[in-house]
Amino acid sequence: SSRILLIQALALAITTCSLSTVSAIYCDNDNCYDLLGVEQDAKLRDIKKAYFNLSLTYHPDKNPGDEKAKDMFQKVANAYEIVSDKESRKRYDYALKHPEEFMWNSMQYYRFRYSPKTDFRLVLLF
Amino acid sequence: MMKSRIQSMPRARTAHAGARFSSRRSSVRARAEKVVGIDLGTTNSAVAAMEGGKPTIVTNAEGQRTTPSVVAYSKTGDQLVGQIAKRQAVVNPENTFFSVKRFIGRRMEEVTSECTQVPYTVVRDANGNVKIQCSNIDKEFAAEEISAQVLRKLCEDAGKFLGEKVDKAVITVPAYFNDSQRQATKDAGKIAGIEVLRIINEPTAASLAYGFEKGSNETILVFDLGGGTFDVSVLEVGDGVFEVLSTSGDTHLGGDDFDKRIVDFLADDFKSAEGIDLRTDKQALQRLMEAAEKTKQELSSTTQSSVSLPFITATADGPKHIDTTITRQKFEELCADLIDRCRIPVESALSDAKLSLNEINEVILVGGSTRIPAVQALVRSLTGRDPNVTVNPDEVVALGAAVQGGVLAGEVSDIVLLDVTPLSLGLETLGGVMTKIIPRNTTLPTSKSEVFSTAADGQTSVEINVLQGEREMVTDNKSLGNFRLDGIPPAPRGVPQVEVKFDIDANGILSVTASDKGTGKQTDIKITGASTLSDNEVESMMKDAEANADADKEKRDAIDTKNSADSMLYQTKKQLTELGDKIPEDVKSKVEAKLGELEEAINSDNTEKMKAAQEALQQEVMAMGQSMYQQPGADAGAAGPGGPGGPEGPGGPGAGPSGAADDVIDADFSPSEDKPKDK
Repeated sequence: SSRILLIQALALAITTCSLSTVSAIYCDNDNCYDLLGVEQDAKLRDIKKAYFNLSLTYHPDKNPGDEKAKDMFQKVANAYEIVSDKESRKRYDYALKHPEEFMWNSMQYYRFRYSPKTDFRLVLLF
Repeated sequence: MMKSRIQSMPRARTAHAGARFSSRRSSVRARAEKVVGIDLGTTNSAVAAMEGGKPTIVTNAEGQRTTPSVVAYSKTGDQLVGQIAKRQAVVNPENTFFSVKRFIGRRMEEVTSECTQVPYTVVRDANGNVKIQCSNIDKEFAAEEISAQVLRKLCEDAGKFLGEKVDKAVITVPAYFNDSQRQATKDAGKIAGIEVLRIINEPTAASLAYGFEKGSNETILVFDLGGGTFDVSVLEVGDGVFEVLSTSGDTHLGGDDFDKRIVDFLADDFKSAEGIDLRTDKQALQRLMEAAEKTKQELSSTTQSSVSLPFITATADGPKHIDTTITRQKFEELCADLIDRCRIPVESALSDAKLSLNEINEVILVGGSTRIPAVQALVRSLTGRDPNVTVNPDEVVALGAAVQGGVLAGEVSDIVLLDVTPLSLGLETLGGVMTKIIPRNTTLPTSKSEVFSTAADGQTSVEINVLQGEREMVTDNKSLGNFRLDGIPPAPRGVPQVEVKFDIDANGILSVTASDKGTGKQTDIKITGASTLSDNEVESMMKDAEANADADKEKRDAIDTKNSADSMLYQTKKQLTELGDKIPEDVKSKVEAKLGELEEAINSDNTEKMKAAQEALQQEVMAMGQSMYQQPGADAGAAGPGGPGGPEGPGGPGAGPSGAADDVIDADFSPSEDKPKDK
C-alpha cells in the first residue's frame, strides 16, 4: 500500500488570504491591540495586565458552556501571544505599518512559525 | 542513566490574575456543588475545600488532616483504607498496597526499580501494563483501582465533614507526570465515582495556595520533594498576576528512596552480623521499612535515633533482634547522592527561567521530605536564602487544588489559572517531519488550523498522524493517534485543500478535525490521553468498586444495627431494674417479651430482625414511659405527646419520634454512629 503523505501548501495558504487584510494571519480580521484593548505603543506590563483582566472575564472556567466567551478568550490569548513576544510583536507592527509588503510579511510569519526551534539542551538530555 | 530521567521544560507558563480584578459575572452564577481539592500523594493524601472564601483542610473520619495512601485486603477479604491499612502492614505485607502512585499509568518496563522496593507483587499484564497482585482475595488490581479506593475514602470522609455529597474534585499530579499518568489519575477518579474536573500540577497548586491573597511582586521557587517524586517550579508573582516560568523534576526521587537507604543499611548490617538477608522476609522487610520511615522522621528533629526491632527473625540459635542507633550524620552520609540529585532540577529550572539565584525572592518547600535538615541545607546553599516556613508542606498542595476547585465551582471569582500545553502538537508531513500546529506553552483552551494539500497526483485520501513533542522528525516524537480523510476528488498534487484543525479544551483534551474544502467532507478524532486502561476496563472497574461500596455499606449497616441493638438492650434492662416495681406488671411483661425477641435477633445476627425487634421494643418502651406518667404522683414532664421518651435514646437507625425530647437518660451515651469508618 502506498503511504500517503501531506505536503504543506504554503503558497496556497498565502493565496487564500485576501490582499486587503494583510495582518489577518495574525489575529484574523481583528487588530491584536484592539482585542486586548491597549494602544499599539503600550508597555508589555500594561498589555499583561489587560490580558489577565480579560482572562478573568472570558476564560471558560468563568463561563462554563459559553462558546462565545471561549472564542473570545482564544482570540485574546492568541493576540497576547503575538504581542507579548518581542520578536513577533516587531514583525506584527511591521505588517501593520507596511500592508503593501504582503508577501514579505507572510513569509516572515511562516518562517518564524515553522523554522526549527528545537532546544538543543533537550536533544542532548534525552 | 540518571541523566535521562531529568527532563527540563522551559517556560511551562501558568498564571493567575489576583484580587485586583473582580469579575462582574461571578455573582450571576448559581452556587454550584462543592468541588474539593485532592492531593493524591505517594505516601499520604490530603483533601481541602473552600470554606468561607478560604481553602481549608478537611479532616478524615479518624480526625487526621492527611490520610495514608494505603489500601489493604485482610485475610477475610475486608478492604481497609488509610491509617487502619497502614497499621496492619507488618502482619499483612503482601496485601498492603502503598506507594501505588509510582505505578499509576506506567508500563512495566518503566518501573523495574520500583518493583523491587515494595513487598507486594507487581506483575505485567498482557498489554505490558502494571498490575498488582492481591493474594488474599485472589485478584489482580490496576494501580488505578487502588488509587480509586483511596479517593473514594477521601471523598466519603470529606462529604461527612462538609455535610454534603462530594463527587467533584480537582486532583493534583507531579508536574512531570506524562499523559498516560494523568489520564490514569483521571480514570482512578472515575472508578471511584468522582468527576475529576481538572488535573493540575502540584507545584502550580502550591503556588496558588501561596499566592492566594498575596499582592506583592516576587519571584518564587517551589521545591517539592514528596514521597515518590521531585518537582521544581519557578514562578513570578506580581500585581495579582503570577505565572510559572519553568518546571523541572525527577520522577524517580522521593522520600521512599531515603527510607530505602536506611533499610539497606540496617539489612546489610544485620546480614554481615547474622548472615541472614532480612529483605527476603516480607514481614521483616515491612517492619524494617516502618522503622526506617520513623527513624528518618525523627532525625529531622533529633541528631540521633534508636532503632529497636525485637524478634525481627529467628535462627536455630533462637530469636534475633535489631537494636542500634543511627545518627543524623550517618543518615546524611547514606543519602548523600540522593540529596545531591535534588541539585540538578533546581539548576535547570533556574536556567530555563533565565534567572540567577539572587533573583529568587522566596523558596517554598512542599512535601514531607523537605523536613530533612540536609535537604533544607541544600536549598539554602543553592538559593542563598532561608526557605519559607509559613506554609505547611503536607497541606499546601491540597489547599491550592481547593482554590482551583473553588474557581471551577464559581466560588472564587477573582482568580483564573491559565494553563498551557507542556508539549507541542502537530502532524506528520512530507518527508517524515513534524509540522507543529500548536506550539508548546500555548494557553489553553486553544484552537488552531492550517491548510494542507496532497503530495501525489490523483491522491484521494490523506492520513493524519497526530504527533506530540518538540523534535523535528516524526520518529522522535510521540504519535497520539491517526485517522484518514477519504473521498478527495482526484486532482494534481497541491491542488486539493485540506484544512486540519487542532482544538484543545480547558481540560487538555485534544480533538483534530480534517476537512476537504472542496467537498466539505470531514473526519475527526478525539484524543483524550494515552490511557493504560480501555474504556471498558474502567467501566467494569467502576461497577466493581460500586458493588464493593454497596457491600461495604451493608456491612456497616449490620455493624451499626447490632451496636445500637446491643445498647438498646442494655439500656432497657437497666431501666427495668431501676424502675423496678414502679412499672405495671402487664407493661413490664410486654417490654420483657420484646426484649427477648431483640436478644434472639442479636444472637441470630440477623440485621433485618434486629431492626424490626428494635422498633417493636421502642413502641413498648414508649408505652411504658406513658404508663409511668399516668401514675399518681409522677413528675409530669409535660413534654407533650410521646412524653419524655425514656430509653429509646440508644440512637442508631430509627430513633423514635420523641427522640428530641429525651434528655433523661442518655447524657452519657454516645451513639454508635461515630465509630471509625475505616472501610
